[in-house]
Amino acid sequence: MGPIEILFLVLMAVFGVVGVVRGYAQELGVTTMLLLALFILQFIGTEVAKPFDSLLAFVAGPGTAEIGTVRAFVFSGFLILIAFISYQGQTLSFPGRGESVALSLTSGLLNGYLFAGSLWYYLGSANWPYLNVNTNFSDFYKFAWNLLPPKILPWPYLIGLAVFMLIMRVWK
Amino acid sequence: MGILILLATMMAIFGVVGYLRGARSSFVTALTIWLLLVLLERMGGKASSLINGLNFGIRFVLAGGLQALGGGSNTTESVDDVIRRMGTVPPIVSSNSSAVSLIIILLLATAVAFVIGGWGRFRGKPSGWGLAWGLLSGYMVSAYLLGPLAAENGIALPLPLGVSGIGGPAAAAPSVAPTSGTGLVDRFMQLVTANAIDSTTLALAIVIGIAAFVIFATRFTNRSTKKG
Repeated sequence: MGPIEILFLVLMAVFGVVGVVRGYAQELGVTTMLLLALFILQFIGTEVAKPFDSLLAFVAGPGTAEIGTVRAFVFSGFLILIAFISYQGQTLSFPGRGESVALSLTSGLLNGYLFAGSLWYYLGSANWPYLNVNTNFSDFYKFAWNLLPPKILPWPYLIGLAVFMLIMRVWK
Repeated sequence: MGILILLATMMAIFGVVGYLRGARSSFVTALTIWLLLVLLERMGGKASSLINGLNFGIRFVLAGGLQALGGGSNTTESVDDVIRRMGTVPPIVSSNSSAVSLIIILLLATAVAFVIGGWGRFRGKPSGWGLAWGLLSGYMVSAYLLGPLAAENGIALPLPLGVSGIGGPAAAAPSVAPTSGTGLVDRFMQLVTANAIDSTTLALAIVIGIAAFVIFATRFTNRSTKKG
């Protein structure tokens, strides 16, 4: 197992611990926000990829590698911003007291998977720009790559799940 | 180094949970984990047979086996009919995957230990002793899981009395300890890859899993009177 995999597993674990402290009722609000953020990024990355890449070309230049690098930073930065706002801003709490440790840990780990896994995917797709990463990846890296959220979940699934979360939030 | 980081991370998670639950709850959880690990040691190579036997039993019940056992003038033929109707039940875990079945049982045992330790009578205020017992629980579970990987890298992770870990002298199955350099993580990945499902099914499984989790968490647990 290489350093990238360990870093992201530790990051997931940190989210899990944060989930235990905050409670699942609040963590599910963060989950909703992360799903919406991923939907936006996936939609841009698939349905409006060409116009978006043209826009990036104004900043980065016409080269494919440069566009990929800027795209990775834009997507990662947007995801980090949404995560920061979700944790720091007004809490979108779900029904429930959030006292169950198991549920809180699970929801925290889910958020870690969505956040850290997506960062891994976006940066990895651009071949880890400006980071001195050995590209001789381990088998676990290649295995986990196929399980990352942007790799598996297309935008219709993400928006469907986000809408479902919002319904569960308001349903009495 | 990576193994030690994973070990420390798992210990930290267990430690935080232990701290929040209190000393008594964490002690009960640690004790339960230790007892279940000792039991797991005694099972050895029977772990995969147990899992496959459970799978057969569940399918037998679902196929109407209980009715066949319980009634009818010719009970033996009814049971045979049920078994014949079930056909060949493929094993969930092969006999060569004893380590995988041990891991599955270990994770279930850890969940059981947490449920027992989380029983209302044991829970108390957050405490430092809870943190300590939680760290011990995390060490036992992760050392048991990561022991073979650590040994391959020259790191010794001692386990408590009565527990020697996967591939230790108490384990009966000869195929448990990977000696050719492929660790447990590699074998887990091979197991998943061998039963690989397409990305659409995986996406649906993840979406349904998240939805089910949200329904369970918001509808079937204690609900507060206020929202947001």
